[in-house]
Amino acid sequence: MINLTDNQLDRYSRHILLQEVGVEGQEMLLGGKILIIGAGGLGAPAAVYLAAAGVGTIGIVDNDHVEISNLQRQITHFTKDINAAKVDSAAEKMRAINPDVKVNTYQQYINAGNIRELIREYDFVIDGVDNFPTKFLINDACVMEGIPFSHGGILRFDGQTMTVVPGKSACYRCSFRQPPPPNAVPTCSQAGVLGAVAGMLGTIQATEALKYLTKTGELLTDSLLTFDAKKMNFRKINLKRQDNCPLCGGKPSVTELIDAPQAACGLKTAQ
Amino acid sequence: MNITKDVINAIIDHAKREIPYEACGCLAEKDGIVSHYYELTNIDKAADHFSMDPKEQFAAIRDMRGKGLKLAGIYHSHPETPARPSEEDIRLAYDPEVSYVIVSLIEPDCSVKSFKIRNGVVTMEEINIIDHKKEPQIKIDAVKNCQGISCPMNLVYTKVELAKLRSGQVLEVILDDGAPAINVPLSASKEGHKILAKNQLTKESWSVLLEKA
Ligand SMILES: [Zn+2]
Repeated sequence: MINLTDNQLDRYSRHILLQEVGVEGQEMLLGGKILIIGAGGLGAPAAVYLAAAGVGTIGIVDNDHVEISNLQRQITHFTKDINAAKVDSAAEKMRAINPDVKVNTYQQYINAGNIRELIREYDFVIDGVDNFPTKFLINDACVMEGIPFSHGGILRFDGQTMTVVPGKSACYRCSFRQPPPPNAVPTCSQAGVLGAVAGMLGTIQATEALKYLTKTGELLTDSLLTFDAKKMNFRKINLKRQDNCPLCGGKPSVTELIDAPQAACGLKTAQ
Repeated sequence: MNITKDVINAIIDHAKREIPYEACGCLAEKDGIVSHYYELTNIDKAADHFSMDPKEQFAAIRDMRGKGLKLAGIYHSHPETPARPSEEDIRLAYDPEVSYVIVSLIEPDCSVKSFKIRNGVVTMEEINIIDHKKEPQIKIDAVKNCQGISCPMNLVYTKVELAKLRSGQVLEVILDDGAPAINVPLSASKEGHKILAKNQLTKESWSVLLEKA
């Protein structure tokens, strides 16, 4: 089972030195498959760290092209990449950081019709989208397929994240029953966001993915981590799986995926 | 000259037992390491010179052949003078290939020095003491030479080798003297692996036996 090259031992030495990761954990990473939905503010830092960590297969989904306003926080995209497909721009950087990684790009919108088939190929999903309907779609699809995922959201100076292991821990719908009505909540394109806050949240999500693949520590399950970067306050709120959850409860009402109506600017899935 | 610690201790011990006379004997090597010694009788029974008993000398040479050993040196002691060849030692040195090892008893820690003597010219040679005190009952399942590999990659390679073993199996790691020999076993033990033995092999290297957790 041990077949790391000397070059890989050097590259991953700081992982191997960790008792909790070690050679075995690094091999789990190399054998792991993670899907990042959204190559934006959250997906970009997650993609960089997961590629650097040697996650063997990384899928990245996004239909958008790079715009100059993205560059303030979406760190896989450089000035030269403006107008390039975000998935291609992100893939180029991931491959440059680590040629060990197989990158699958999906330049498409994620929707009720394609998401289940897409996530099925992966061990863990990172939700890096910026709108509530798609966040609920990811939650619902992952719970239905039994695939763990990391939820993440940022706005202005704030971030929130939770990890869901379907069937074991509270899902997003256990606490947030349904998407807010369109335009009720500002997206970050309307509200603004401090660029580095995206990095803070995206790297927390990447950390959860690495912990999941290496079976290390305790995941951020049954809890919602929120932070306010202005005061640098972090808070962890305990959540519980709800028996009356419309998705993962005893009598579910959400039994199939539907594409919810979106706010006009929410059509773009990337944060 | 590479010599085991056991032989060094034995010839010092022999030298002390012969006080006030000079002790003498032969050293034999295998694979470049002096690992055997033969105590011979100093038929001169003197404090300032020695002659090896020829019969015992022949017997020793014969024994070496039988064991696949090679004559590596002649040792004798100086009970009252420093560890350097006397005029007589130089005059009587007949073989330029063998090492002339002298144990001086005038210093508290009994200095042992080795010389090559060619045509009356004396050259001191370095003595590498190898402490190979591995508990004979320990079965070693794998060996990893990490000499020349600096921290932390020596620990990385050690962990890779340990990962290949089953719990309870034993890995011997050869480590550079200094920080590697201190830190690698320490880090491995913090991860639950057991240090079974740690022995200095040469001035520059250590052997560490680790039992996988
Ligand atoms: Zn639920």
